[in-house]
Amino acid sequence: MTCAAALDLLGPYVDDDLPTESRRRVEAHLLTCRDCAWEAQTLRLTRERLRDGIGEVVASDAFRARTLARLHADNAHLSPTADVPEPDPLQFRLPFKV
Amino acid sequence: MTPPRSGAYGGGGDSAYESRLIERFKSGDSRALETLFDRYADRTLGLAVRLTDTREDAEEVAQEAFLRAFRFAREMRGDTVTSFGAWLFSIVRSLAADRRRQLKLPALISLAAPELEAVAADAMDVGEEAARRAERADLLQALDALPEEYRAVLTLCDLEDVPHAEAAQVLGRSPAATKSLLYRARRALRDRLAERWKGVSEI
Repeated sequence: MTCAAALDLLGPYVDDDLPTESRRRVEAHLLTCRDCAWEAQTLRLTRERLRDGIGEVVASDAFRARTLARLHADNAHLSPTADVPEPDPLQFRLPFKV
Repeated sequence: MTPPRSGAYGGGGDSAYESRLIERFKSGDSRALETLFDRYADRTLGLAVRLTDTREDAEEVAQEAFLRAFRFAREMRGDTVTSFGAWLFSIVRSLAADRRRQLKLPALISLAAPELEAVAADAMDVGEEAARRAERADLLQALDALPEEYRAVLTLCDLEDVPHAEAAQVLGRSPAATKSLLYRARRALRDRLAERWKGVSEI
């Protein structure tokens, strides 16, 4: 396999998206070619860094609350959420007279 | 420990579940709206952060994208429902582009301040945490300096783990063209990072 052919396949190779036969040919080439091996290794490392949760963004509670409030206001057809039930007045009544 | 992201893709059967949520939302169930919002909040904001210059812009873009996506969903007929995520991410992309045009700014390198990038902070010793933070800053800085299309495909496919087919819808490309864009984008990112990696013995 030539370097050009190997380089063409490194994208799917790094994603484990090659048929077995092509993967084996790429691997055989990588064992004999330092440049292509470096290319494969650094691409793999780049992919891993990205997938490591390293750039993960988490929506803050404030953003969630603000956006949900706007979404509720914008969707008047929705029935009110039953998440917070009205407190049942009976629940707090003491079983005896004070 | 950070809990798993609520919006993680569940694999098979996911789109059927999502269609049901959209139907329930249309018929007035506010919990369906909340569930859909929760599934996508982190990833929508994540994409917006990568495509805009400040956290404030990103939050505005993400919020507006949710408003529009739910408006679309309300007007959609049942049988034409495609992926809610693909709509949402497409809207984020177009709003972010509009904002850039309005401001007439080129892509700025946003400094990834630690407090802006809430990151899984597992129990790690301090040295490891510091190294990780530096690594993250390098990576995000390199990512933010790439062309918009590269940032979009890397954010969707690698950072957010959106399926290729859905990323392809957002990018308006075939799945095969999306993959090849992804490979080019990774290579471009690698080139930016490579300078820093030179001489590092493990590589």
